[in-house]
Amino acid sequence: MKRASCGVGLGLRWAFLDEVLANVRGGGPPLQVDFFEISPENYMRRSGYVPAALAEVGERYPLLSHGLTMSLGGVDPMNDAYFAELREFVSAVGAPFHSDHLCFGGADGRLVHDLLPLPFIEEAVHHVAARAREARDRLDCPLAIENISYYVSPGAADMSEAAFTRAVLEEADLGLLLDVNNVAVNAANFGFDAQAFIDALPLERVLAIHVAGHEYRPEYERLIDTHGAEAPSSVLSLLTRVVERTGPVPVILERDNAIPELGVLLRELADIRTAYNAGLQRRAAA
Amino acid sequence: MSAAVPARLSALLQTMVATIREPDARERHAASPAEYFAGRGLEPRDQAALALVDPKALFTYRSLVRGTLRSAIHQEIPRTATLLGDRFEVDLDRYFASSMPSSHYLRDVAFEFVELASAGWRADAGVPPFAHDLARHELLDFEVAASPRAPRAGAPPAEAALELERPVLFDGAARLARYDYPVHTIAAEGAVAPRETWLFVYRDSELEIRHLELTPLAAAITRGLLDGEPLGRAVTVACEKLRATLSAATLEGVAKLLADYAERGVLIGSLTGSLPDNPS
Repeated sequence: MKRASCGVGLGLRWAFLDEVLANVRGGGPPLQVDFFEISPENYMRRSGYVPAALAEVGERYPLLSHGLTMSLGGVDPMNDAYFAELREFVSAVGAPFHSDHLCFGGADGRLVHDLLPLPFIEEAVHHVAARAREARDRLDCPLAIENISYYVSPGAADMSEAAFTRAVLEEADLGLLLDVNNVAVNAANFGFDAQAFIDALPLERVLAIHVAGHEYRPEYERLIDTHGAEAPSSVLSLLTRVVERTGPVPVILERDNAIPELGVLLRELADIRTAYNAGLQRRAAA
Repeated sequence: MSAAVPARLSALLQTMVATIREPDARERHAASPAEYFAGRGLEPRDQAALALVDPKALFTYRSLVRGTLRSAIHQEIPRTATLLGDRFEVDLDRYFASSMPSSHYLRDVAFEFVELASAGWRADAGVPPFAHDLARHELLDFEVAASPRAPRAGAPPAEAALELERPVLFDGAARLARYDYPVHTIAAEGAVAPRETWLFVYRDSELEIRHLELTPLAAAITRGLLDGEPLGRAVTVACEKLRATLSAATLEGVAKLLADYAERGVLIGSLTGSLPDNPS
């Protein structure tokens, strides 16, 4: 499958959109960002300042498309209008593929705007794979699914998360957006080995990697995938080890809470780039 | 999608959503996990597995989902939230229990919430009577900020010169609102006396939201124009409706209004044909 814009990029957020725009308009040296990842739902079906700004950013930086509300595992019918608009948007921004999450987002026609965990059961494999194929056909572009962080494994599992993920990927022939922070969070909360989990995945299907930070929340007595802190060294170590296996891929830093100034995020990107390059060097040396 | 949804999967997903939505889920689960999961169509093995899940983990999603939606709604209608205080939070809980969002777009959630909650606000003497107008006003700003600039689909081309027998073309984001209270003048946490208020809301060339308070006659003319009436007819009908004399002074006022709209960049010109029927 097609990979694009390899290197280290940043999830574009309102909080620093103006700073990015000022850089684009100022004509100064480009930011040390190889590309930006955007969530189409924040830009689709709207006009005004936000899409105008995105168009300017897109003229200078490649864009990747990462959706939030496809509800691939959901049991409600797919929303025709949503898919038609998404197809048009992904095509317009020139993204090489679109990604969304291996999860469901609601039931009975309602969407909760969160990533709810699917049961790791045989029925879900076939159900999600069928919907993913349909989604890819509707979008007419390659599709990748992201492993989520989760706090409950609903029901009696028929298989492990890694086996479930692999089965969906292979049955639907999908790309994988591997979120190494989600792996770290789940490994800590459920007590499994993160590296062994990664080893069980079909890494040849990785189209991109997500990096983010997490926090321990005492009220839940577990790690929560807040995207509200710097990516810890444990996550960067996983990144290096994955890149050693995959070779060059797009790596994206996600930050959604307690978002610092753009300069701080750019410094974090430099650390991520160091971890990424270390993976490439190990691969070259192997 | 032709394949039927497996019953086992459907029951598990519905149950997960129920832990987020049901108002008394925590209490019922705490009383008896086994009973809480009974009667939901779950297979016995899934029911047994769920009953063993740590409640802190099980209800994590309840907190996260409600927190996300609450935050999104507060961001879009912050002044309404401040005005209503605790009542607003109670209404949010009712919304989570009875409805939840139907849209793929998080920015639509506040619109759905206001539609559901506002009937209760209007019926409750304890709620400031301008609460509904204030919420509508905050949402309208949001709507205008995001609305497509393009004119209505199927609109004919426009020419700069205005003609009495032709409709005019506005920027697609322009809206006209009528309120019972001048809610756009309310200071933070303030109150306001009732006064019928017509507000023209639009985006300027810098994409900033602007408000223009109109007289009833200007509003009636603008309403007609936005609905696709030819300019001359929109003026005549508005004057008849408001029993205003179609005098030279009135026509001068109309000319000034249109010139003002054009200067603000919101009136684009005369249409060379009729607007299609408004789907709304």
